[in-house]
Amino acid sequence: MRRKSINWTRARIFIVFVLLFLCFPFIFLRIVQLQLVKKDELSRLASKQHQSIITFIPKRGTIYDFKGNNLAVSIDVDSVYARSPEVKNPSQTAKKLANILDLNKGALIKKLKTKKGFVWVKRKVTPKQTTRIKESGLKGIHFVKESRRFYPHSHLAAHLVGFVGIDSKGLEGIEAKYDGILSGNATRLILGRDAFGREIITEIPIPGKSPENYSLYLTIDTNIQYIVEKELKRAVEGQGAKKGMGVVMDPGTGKILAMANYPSFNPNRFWDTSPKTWRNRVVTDVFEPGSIFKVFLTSTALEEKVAKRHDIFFCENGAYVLSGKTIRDVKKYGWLSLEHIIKYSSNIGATKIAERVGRKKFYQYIRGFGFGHKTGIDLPGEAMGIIRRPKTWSKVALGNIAFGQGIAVTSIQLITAISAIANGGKLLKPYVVDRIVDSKGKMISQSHPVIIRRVLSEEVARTMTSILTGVVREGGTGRRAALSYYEAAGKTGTAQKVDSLVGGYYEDRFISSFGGYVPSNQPRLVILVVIDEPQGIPYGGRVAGPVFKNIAERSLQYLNIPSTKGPILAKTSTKKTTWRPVKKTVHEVMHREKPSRRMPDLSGLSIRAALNRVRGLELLVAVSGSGKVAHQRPRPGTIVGKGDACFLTFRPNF
Amino acid sequence: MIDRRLLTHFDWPLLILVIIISFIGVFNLYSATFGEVESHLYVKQILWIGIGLALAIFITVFDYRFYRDFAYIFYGISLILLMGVFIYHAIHPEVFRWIKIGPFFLQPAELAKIAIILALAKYFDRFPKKDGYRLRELILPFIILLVPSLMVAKQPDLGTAISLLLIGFSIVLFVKIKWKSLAIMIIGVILILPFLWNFLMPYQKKRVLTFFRPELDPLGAGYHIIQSKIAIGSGGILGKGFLKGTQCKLHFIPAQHTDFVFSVWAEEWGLAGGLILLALYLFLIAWGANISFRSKDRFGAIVAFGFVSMVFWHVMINIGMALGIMPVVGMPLPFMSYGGSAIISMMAGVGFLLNISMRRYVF
Repeated sequence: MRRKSINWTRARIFIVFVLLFLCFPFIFLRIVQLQLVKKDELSRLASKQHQSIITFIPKRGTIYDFKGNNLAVSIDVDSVYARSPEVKNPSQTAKKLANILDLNKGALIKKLKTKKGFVWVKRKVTPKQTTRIKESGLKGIHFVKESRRFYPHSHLAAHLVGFVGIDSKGLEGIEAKYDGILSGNATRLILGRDAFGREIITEIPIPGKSPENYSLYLTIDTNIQYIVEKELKRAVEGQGAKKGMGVVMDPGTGKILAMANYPSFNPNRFWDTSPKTWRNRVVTDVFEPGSIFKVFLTSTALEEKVAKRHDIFFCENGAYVLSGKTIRDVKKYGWLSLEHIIKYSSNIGATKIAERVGRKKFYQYIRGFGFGHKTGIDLPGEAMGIIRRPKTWSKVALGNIAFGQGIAVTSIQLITAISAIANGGKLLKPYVVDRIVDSKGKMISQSHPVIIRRVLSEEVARTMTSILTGVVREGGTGRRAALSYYEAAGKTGTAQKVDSLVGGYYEDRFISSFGGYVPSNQPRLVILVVIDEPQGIPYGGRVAGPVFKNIAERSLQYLNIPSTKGPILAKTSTKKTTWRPVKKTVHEVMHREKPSRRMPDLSGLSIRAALNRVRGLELLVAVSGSGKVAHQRPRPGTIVGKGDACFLTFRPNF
Repeated sequence: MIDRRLLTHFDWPLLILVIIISFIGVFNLYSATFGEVESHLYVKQILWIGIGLALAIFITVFDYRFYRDFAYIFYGISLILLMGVFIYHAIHPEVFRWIKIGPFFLQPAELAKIAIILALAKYFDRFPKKDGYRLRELILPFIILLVPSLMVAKQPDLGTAISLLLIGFSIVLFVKIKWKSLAIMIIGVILILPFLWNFLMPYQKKRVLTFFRPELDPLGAGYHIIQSKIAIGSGGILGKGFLKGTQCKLHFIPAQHTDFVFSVWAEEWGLAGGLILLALYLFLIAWGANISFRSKDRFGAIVAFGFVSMVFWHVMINIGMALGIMPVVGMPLPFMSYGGSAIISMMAGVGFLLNISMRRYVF
């Protein structure tokens, strides 16, 4: 009986346990689901929950022009954030904030209703907005000082200086190229947050080699930049052109003294203009240079001694048929000397010279002048230009290249090459940053002129200058570029624009240019003016020549360079161009330069808020504990100096 | 009494298995409370495990049939102690679920688990029914089960009450109930559920509701489930490593040293650790089932089964809760969760299993 009962029991045990064990697969599958399938999603949720990387907008170094004028400065501004649990009435609060800050109300309500604790409302608001928010007395809305980039002269040298994004990362121009140097890297803080929302520091990145932000001095002279921009604007608007470029370079060193694009934009509100406008076309865009390129052909011919200055070429009375294609001149010429081919800018003459120079030599010199390479200027996005291999050049192509069609160059290449003629034959590397200094003004590095190669002998360069001086004289195509009191040398360029759709050239769209230097006997400035699609008569001499003249004249006067021609100038008689910063900007800049040197009262502040408060004082801060400031040294109100030690003790508060 | 022959049959694998799981528990507890005010809890847990093991060994000294004679008395004592909880609560309103006897705090609900198992085993041993029990023959067992369960639920300790009921019903299933009676019983339970629902405390209702829709209240009642899932899921395959569980260290896991220890474990040791732990429990349950299977008499089989089902339901519900597939009811994970009473009642169960196991050859 007992045996039997046990057998029976065993059968039941077995059945019941089988039933129980069937539960295990569910647990198993669920673990696999969570830890294998949903792993990434849940991990993301996890780190979102407890980690907030709070990036303090780094205080960037200042960008100065050559003389120390501010081009880009960092100022402290307020950013608005909300501690959402403290917000009493989200829709009411959102309505007020949206009104003051010009934000979308619906999105704001959503933000304020999250349980995240910390949400940005708007970063970098104006002082006026701060006051208005403070006056409205909204609960749960707080401010934090952040650094904001400010360009005191707005449009001035905008393309060159560039700008930074909301996170203070350089996006264009010098700001982008020298981002690492300007920003430093010790300003990011990763804050952990526990389930009670208390802040704990989990990681402070150790400062790298460049913990400090450095400031830059550019080679730019704000006055010349101003002159260029003003003249460029007048020309582009006056000619009804699409856009224009102007560059001024010091031929002796390769320093860029001015670099302008028109239309320009305000880097303080860069988002108002299209990204196309932000491009510094001087370095990023290529175009067919036109007749201005004859300068390099002639230089080649002289340097290679295949032709002399007074050698004459038959210019076919205005129409030269080559392999079925006709090369034309604007005016009909018979025999012209090499010098006059340049002076009158004869395409047929240039073709004849090119034929004598030959494809290989010409190509070698084109490369020698720096075309087809990057110049190496310290600006982002430089283009190389397009120079086809000489093997592929047909007879017509060689002729076209002779007068600057069928190749593509950048303005910076063009001015650098002209500069090589101006300085006696040396190709220099153009540059815009003159020196880098640390926050105390100590020199970190200094740029020096870099000679890339000698392209021409001094003698040929001198001859070229003499020929180019003729261009600007009476009868030359560049006569409208002639200065009253200085001798100038230069060359015009008028190129048909490429119709990239059809593949040929537009009949009615031109790029007019003038490149030259002053004073011609001892060049101080190389100036290139490029006007894109001028209306009316497109010739470079007519369109760009006067711009060159105005820039050159005003700049030379500004630089107090003695006149080389005509009567001795009474300087007082000419109105000197002075550039004056806007009053308000000076005020704001001044305001920033004088931070309080007293220790603020930090008690009760979070780690982040406390560090933010003392950041401007440049103290060495030692942090211990977590939570809110419980103790601080030095005491509030103490006058502190740069680099003083500061001890902050934090305790969680309940 | 114990003799040499019994020692040779001592169930070492069971003891070692339990010690391994307890060790993992201590290890995990160290991490769960690391850097906290209660960081010494793992030491106390070691102490409880020690006391529990001593108790288990002590239980093996007497033949388990000896306990059969005292089963009802023991049951009576546990009822009195449960009563004592209400009296104690009346005197000390801040204390629920506990009574203080001398220097010790005692959780009578844990004691009730053992008492119910022994009492039911005794009843079903005395009145065996080969063809299965009818409903009317189950009235007494139901009273044995329901009285302490309701008292525990009233404390309020829904988790333990549910575990008592599950253990009791498992035993009823085990001793065989007539199909008709089972059907009637299930219908009865379904009918009684709305009544039970009203019996629940508001927070308990909320927990059950949020089990079905945790996203309803992510910061309130659903918080536990969501946080536990995040912790486990973010552990991934190999986990974040010992003492490196961010969710645990930053207190996102609720009750991380008691009800949600599994989340801590799975966060730091990942899928691998979770499965290893699950395998250990599975092994323990299978081993216990084998003891029940091989028990030489009906009482032993039922007692062994009772304790195995106790472990089983605790593991299932606790881990299921951590994984978000069971409602959040306070139920400790055997040998892992911190808590003296739970450890000791589990260890007592181990003592009974060891006892039954080593005496299976004795006639």
